[in-house]
Amino acid sequence: MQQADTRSRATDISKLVRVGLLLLFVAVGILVAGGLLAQGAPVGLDWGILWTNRFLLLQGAATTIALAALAAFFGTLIGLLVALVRVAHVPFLAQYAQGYTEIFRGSPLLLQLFWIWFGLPLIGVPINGFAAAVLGLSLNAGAFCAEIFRGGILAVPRGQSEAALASGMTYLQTMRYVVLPQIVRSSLPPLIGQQISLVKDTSLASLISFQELMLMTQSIIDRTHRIFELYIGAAAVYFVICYPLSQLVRSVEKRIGSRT
Amino acid sequence: MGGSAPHRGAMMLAPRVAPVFGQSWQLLTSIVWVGLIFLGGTALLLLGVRQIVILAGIATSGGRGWTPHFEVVLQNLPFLLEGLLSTLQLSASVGVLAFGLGILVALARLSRLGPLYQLATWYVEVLRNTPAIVQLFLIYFGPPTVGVRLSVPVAALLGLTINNSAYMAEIIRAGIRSINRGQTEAASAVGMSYPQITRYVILPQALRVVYPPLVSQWISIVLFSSLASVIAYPELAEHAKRLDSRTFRSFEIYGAVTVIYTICTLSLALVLRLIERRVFPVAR
Repeated sequence: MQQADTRSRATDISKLVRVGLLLLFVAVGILVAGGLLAQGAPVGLDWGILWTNRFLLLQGAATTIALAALAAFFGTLIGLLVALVRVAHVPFLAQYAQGYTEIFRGSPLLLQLFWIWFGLPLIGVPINGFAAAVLGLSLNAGAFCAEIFRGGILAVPRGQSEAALASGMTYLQTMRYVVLPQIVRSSLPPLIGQQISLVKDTSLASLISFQELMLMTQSIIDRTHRIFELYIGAAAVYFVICYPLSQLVRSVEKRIGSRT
Repeated sequence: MGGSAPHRGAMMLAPRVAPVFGQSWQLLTSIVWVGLIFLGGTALLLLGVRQIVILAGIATSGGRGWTPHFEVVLQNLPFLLEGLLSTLQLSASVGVLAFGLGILVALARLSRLGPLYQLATWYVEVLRNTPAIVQLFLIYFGPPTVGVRLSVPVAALLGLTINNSAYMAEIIRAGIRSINRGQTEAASAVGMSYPQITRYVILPQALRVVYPPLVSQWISIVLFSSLASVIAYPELAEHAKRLDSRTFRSFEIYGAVTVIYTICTLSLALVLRLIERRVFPVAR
């Protein structure tokens, strides 16, 4: 046991070193490629621009993370409620929930955001960029989470909830104590995967003029005209947020796989 | 895009859903019923919110006198359908190109050549962990600074293809890895070359395994293609924006276009699933 632990820690460290080396390799590659590309350009590349604007970029990154976290919270909540309503076949509400998931999964997030941002003020609902971004992203994420939860719930053998109901538990108790604890295992990897796409999707909030990382980058570009450097810098920030999450998905999947 | 678990759920459901699918009339009525309940419910909900906002005195200045004018959408339906056609063309091209590129990247990801494997791995990781819109902007606005100019359609096609090829590659890789190693060994034992093994042994079987996740990727390509509107590629979302800037009927137009997209992706999913039953009948 002890031996296995040390060995896995050793492989972890060597993996870390390898990943670090690769990151270094990629960074150098980008710099060299950028330098070569810049040979033909009127002005060379200036990576210092990222350092000069580091506070603005960090502020953008913080806004992006806050937006993603809020939308992830509300999205998961909406998803859980919608999945429960659909599984319980509540009349009308279940159909409404189904329509909601189909519409919000079947149409682009871009148009959902536009509808909320440009459409709602027209019918009288006052809304600002932040609220519109949170609302749009939560509703979109909610639809995807709902399908993840519903898939998980339906995969739990029916006999279990029947037995729980027969032993006198209410529907909510059955879900809370019997069914939901079991779906954590199957739903966790896709759920984290959903949060990764959510982080990337927050970039669309820039199109409804909410000042997150993407719009911040664009406003720096408007001022400095350093397109390559800043977009690659922004991409790097998104990568730094998303890559650990996607590695997490992989390790969680592996762990779940090894236990079954 | 994390589509594995819902899919697994859908597979579980298959025996129960299958008979319902056979009766297309029942399916159609259930879709119409769900649509009516959702749209009606949302209309009621929004009316309620509007009344509350007006009573609370915080309604936007223009909002109080608003009346719905969905005829704007009907009058300009040809314009929107033109955009829809363009969306379908773009997504079909991206779907085919990204699939081809995805196969190449997947093979590189499975290769035993170190540098090739590393390159493909980083290609996939970087593209999957950064937003598509950053990639599009980089491809469209980046090259002009070094004197190369890509036209809008080329940039849109290139950006979306590259982005989606990474997702495709992961799907295809998973499919190829699901095939028993013994088959490859047997094929090479009877004297088949690597390209032959890939073409006649691995890919035909892998296709069957990857078809369901491929379908969801193709559908998300239709949704992804709306991002081409940020570089003014004239597809459905861009047409909706143009119509909106001409008529200022944002609520009606974006609402209707959302529904058009949904109808389009739902029918695409249905058709692709019917094809699946026809082409891979034993898969179930």
